[in-house]
Amino acid sequence: MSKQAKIQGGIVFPGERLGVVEEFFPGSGLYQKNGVIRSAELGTIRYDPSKRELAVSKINRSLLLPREGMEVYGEVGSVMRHDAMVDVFILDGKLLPSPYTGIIQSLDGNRNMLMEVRNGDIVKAKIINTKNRILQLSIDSSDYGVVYAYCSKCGMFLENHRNRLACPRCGRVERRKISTSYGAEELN
Amino acid sequence: MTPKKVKEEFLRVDGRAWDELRPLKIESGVLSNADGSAYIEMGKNKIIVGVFGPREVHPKHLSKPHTGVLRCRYHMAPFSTDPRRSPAPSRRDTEITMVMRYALEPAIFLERYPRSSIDIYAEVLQADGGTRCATITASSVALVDAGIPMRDLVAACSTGKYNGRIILDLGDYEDKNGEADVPIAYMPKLEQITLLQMDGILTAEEFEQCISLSIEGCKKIYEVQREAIKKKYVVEKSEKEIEKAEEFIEESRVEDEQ
Amino acid sequence: MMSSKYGIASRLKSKRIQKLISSGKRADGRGFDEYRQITIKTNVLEKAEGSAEVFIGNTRVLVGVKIGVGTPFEDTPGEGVLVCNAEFVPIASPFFEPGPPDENSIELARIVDRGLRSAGVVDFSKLDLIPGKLVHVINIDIYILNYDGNLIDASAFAAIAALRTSVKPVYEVKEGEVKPTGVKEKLEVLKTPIAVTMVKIGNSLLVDPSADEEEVMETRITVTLEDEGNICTIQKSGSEPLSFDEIKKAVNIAKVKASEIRSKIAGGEG
Repeated sequence: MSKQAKIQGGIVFPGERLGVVEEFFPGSGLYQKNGVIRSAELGTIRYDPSKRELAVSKINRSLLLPREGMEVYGEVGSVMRHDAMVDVFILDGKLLPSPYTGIIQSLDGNRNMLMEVRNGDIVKAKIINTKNRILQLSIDSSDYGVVYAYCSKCGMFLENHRNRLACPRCGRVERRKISTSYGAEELN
Repeated sequence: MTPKKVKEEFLRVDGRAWDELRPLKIESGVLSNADGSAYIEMGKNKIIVGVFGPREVHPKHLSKPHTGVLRCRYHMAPFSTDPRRSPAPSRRDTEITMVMRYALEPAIFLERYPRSSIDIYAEVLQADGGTRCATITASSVALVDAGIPMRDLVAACSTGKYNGRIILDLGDYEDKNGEADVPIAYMPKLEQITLLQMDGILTAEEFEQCISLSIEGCKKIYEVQREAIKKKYVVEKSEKEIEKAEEFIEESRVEDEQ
Repeated sequence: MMSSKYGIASRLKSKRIQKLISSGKRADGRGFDEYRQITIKTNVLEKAEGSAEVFIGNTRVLVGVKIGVGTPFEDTPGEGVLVCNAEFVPIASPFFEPGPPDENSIELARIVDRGLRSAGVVDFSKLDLIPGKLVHVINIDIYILNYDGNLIDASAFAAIAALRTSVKPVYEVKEGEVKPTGVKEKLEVLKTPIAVTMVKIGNSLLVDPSADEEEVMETRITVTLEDEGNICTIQKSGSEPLSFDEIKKAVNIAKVKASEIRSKIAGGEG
């Protein structure tokens, strides 16, 4: 049994020296400096002998950071023909005290965002890219899209009648790209 | 390298030995609304620290596209000193806020969080000399509590000269009436100094002695930091997992040195 | 006190909480006139002249009392001075930002201040040192360490609990100057005013609102009573009105709660 295998399950603190680069491949929760591998986390050591990979899986609080594939809820800000700004306030089911800025874009330029969302709407979306300046969101799937919308004439909540959004007060009918869960989201 | 043993034994104004820290207590995870927190008592110092983030920076113009920003605030409660102080931040608070940021920044992987900030807010509830060091020590525990990956913990303490003698961890009286004060923050595993200030008069030799003694002090503080983190995150039955890891780390170090 | 930035999320939350309340329940299972667990610790700071820390549920408030020497107010030259100040420090909530006191923290400090002053907690004429020139100044600093609603009551309890354990430095007055003698004597506290805060949600009055309840409340009322059951301060806050009947009801609830809490504070010393 290698010494790495023996350490399986050991708990380490950030900064602790676990070895040198020649000994194993550093997995997650580690960092290397000057050829020395150290833990970056408070966590448990995991060694995978088949890959000769050492990693530390954290045991303290996990960070809530936007990642590709996460589901979010946000309030639509300004809308232009090819993009709509969104203030993301629920990330992966958790309410954020301060919002992340996101954007829904018409990537091929053929869509008109003005026909899909409006300022003040609440949308449910998926993060498709985090690498650029702001979170890129998608509302393409049927689950995603507007979940709450206000009447642009009188401000009432619009009601969904067979995929048409109608205002119960003034009767105005509006168009949106709505989610299948329109009007039923709890948002907490 | 430990400083040479002093020739004569003497006791300090509060009865401590020359190389003895004040009673030190650290507790982690003391606030429910902060993402991470810690409370420290070092002598009569009582300081509480809250960490928030990483989160999107507001106002936006402070955000950096290639890296995260660390924002700190060192603030003293009006009742923390005698006489009462104004709650408005003083020039001293502003300077300590800055050195605190520089002391902690090297331990954090800020480059992993572009356009985000990590905010550390420290409130001094009672001041008893050495608040900046105690604040840095507590902040580093609060960062671990917040789940923020770190290169190392940061421990801090000061050494100084009082009545012609080099002593560890100056109390309020020694600080105000002594000849010199050298606060230091130290990453114990990386063996790097991240805070260094000095005021008063010291010979070059005395200054070196101060640094060595501070480093010894920081190592003792580091053990208390680990205990505080362990108490919150490591249940008793996992203690042997720490020992197991410690053995491995030691073995691996010795092996590589050969 | 803390309104969500997202109108709609808050409207939905409001609907849920209202629905629960109309069925006679609160989210944390409390009765409408029930406080969360209250814990009071006194003498938590050695260097202040008085101190107390109060926990109401997850709300946590620290009060430090400093007693020094200063000049009297112009309109009361022979009387001591009492000043309340509140700091909403940013560790208490992700919604609190560092900076000078805003309207919420000033309102909070003033409600506590008025409660103490109107009840006559101290005899200000006994805090005179050199008539017209120097008097004792009592500074009550309220420090919010963790926010989960009802900061007013937590602050008011902590302020009176801290005052009740305060000591006053004794000065020697000689030829128009004061000199500290190094001796401290107990500050004479005459009354124990207790603040009871309620919020109106739907048609109900709820004692000791949590942060969630404060977010969706329509209006808020704080009634402070002194030892004999007399009302000494009232503050109605929030944009919805209250009927006369609701106000009478609030005062009656406050009377019952105040005497319960007073015995807790009076008994919590030692």
